[in-house]
Amino acid sequence: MPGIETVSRALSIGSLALLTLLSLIAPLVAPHDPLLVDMPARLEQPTVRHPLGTDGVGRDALSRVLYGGRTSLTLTLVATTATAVIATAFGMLAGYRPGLVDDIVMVVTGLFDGIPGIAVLIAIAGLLGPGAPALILGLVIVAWPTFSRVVRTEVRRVAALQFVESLRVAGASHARIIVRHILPNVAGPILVLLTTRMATSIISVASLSFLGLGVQPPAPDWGVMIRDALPYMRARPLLVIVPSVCVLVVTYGLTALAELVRTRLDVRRTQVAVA
Amino acid sequence: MQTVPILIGLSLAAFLLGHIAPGDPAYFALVVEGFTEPTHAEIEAMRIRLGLDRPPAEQYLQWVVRAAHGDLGRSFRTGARISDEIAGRLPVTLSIALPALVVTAVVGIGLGTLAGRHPDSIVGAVIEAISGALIATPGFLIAILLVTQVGERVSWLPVAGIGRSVHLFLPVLSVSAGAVGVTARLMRSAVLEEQSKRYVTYAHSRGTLPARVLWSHIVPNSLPAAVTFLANAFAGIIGGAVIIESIFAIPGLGSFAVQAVLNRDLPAIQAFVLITGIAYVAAQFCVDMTLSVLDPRIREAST
Repeated sequence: MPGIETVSRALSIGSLALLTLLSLIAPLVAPHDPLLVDMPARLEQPTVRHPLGTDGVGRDALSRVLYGGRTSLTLTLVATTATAVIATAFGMLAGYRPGLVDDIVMVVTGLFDGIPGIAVLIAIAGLLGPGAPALILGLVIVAWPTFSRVVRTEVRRVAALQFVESLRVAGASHARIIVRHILPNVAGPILVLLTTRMATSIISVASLSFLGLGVQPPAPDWGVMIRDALPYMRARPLLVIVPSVCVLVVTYGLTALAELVRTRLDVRRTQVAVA
Repeated sequence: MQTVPILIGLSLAAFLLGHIAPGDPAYFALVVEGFTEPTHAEIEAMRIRLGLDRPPAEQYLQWVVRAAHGDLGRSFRTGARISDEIAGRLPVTLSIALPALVVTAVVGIGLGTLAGRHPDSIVGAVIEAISGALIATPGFLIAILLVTQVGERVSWLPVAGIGRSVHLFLPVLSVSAGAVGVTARLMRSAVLEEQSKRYVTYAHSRGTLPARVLWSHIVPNSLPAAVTFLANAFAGIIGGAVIIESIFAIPGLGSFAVQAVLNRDLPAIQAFVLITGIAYVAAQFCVDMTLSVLDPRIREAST
């Protein structure tokens, strides 16, 4: 008999998978063009033709939700993967090579840590102009310092183990030790960090788009949709609720996934910060 | 103390922001003064007036010295002094951030302690679930929910603007929600760990009142992680209550920043980065102070 926690975790991850799949195949399943404006049909109630109704300018809400998922999820995935690659590289370098390299990386991460995340995201949007490139760059800049610090700590722990020394004695090159031996040993925490980070990123993407500083209209995105639908909140609550629920499904699903990876790989909670 | 290098790096970052950005500041400054099509000569004159012809290092120093004197330049958009603008908006943001800090600290630490004391009971499970939900829910959704579900039903509760203290109620709640979740989690795991220590068992076996063991030993010893987070969250609210401010139509620093970005108003963006950074450094300082009060070992080490 599975516990309530297992069930809710399976449900969270399952809905995340379903939503991701539907967003991926959006061009195949979306009933309409997400950008097609049809003013006479604006703010329609849900019908067979428009299962979730239409938005303020008559665009099909269901299609926009599905395409919006593509935008939000792709942005998050790209930004987080880039963060992970950069942060792992720096973290490995700093952790494996104590001394000057380590000091430099630590000072740089310390500097980046001094600026609150949202301020960085806003500043980058101001610099490059709001849009996807600014969003991705901002997310990477915000996330890499903490990420690489955790990697550094983990690498340090592994690099101090005796087998690393033995490998050196046996004549293995530094590159080989790092890639073949240390990386697999720190992969668990990196995976947990990656998943947790994705949950945070999707919130940032939605929040900035909501403010008008992220994905630019008319491109569909959940944050943009929520913002567009707010004036009609009372008459057409579905237009706000559906994209909101989508954001929640993703953050809850990713949080559950991170927990699952954590328990499966036996990564201690203290290794990877909560927030 | 890492404060000094962080401040230097921060001011450098804010300064560079104005220089790597596309567009000529001299041109913008002239447009603000009313020139629609400034000539080449006029732009050159303005460059000299703004000091843009000097070497970058000298410009940076000049900028820092001015900023230290409270002169953050003029907005490209309105031509108004940015320091005046910030002086008007900072109190508004603080009037949200300070109550939010108190609410988060009291509720988060309270719930976390409760959950840590009763990890296997229904109370602990409920608190765990609530904090998980609060962490995973974006702040703007909580705000929208509060506005539409509470604000529209409770007629005396205003949903927009500032002025009276009731105006603060919903924004403070929205800002605190996520932070309460994290604080409760941190506090819970700290309490769980602390109360399994031997000195606690000893105190209980000696017959010390359980309430005394809890409040004089377990809670103070469990606080550091929560305090560190609270300070960062507070700094985050100063610069990051953007979404809440836009939903509740609050003219604070956040909406200032959004306006600045949408108008490409670089001096304003620079000032915003600088202010939030200073808030962060100040918060760090308060953390260090609080921790040294909580833990004599830190106090000893630093003197």
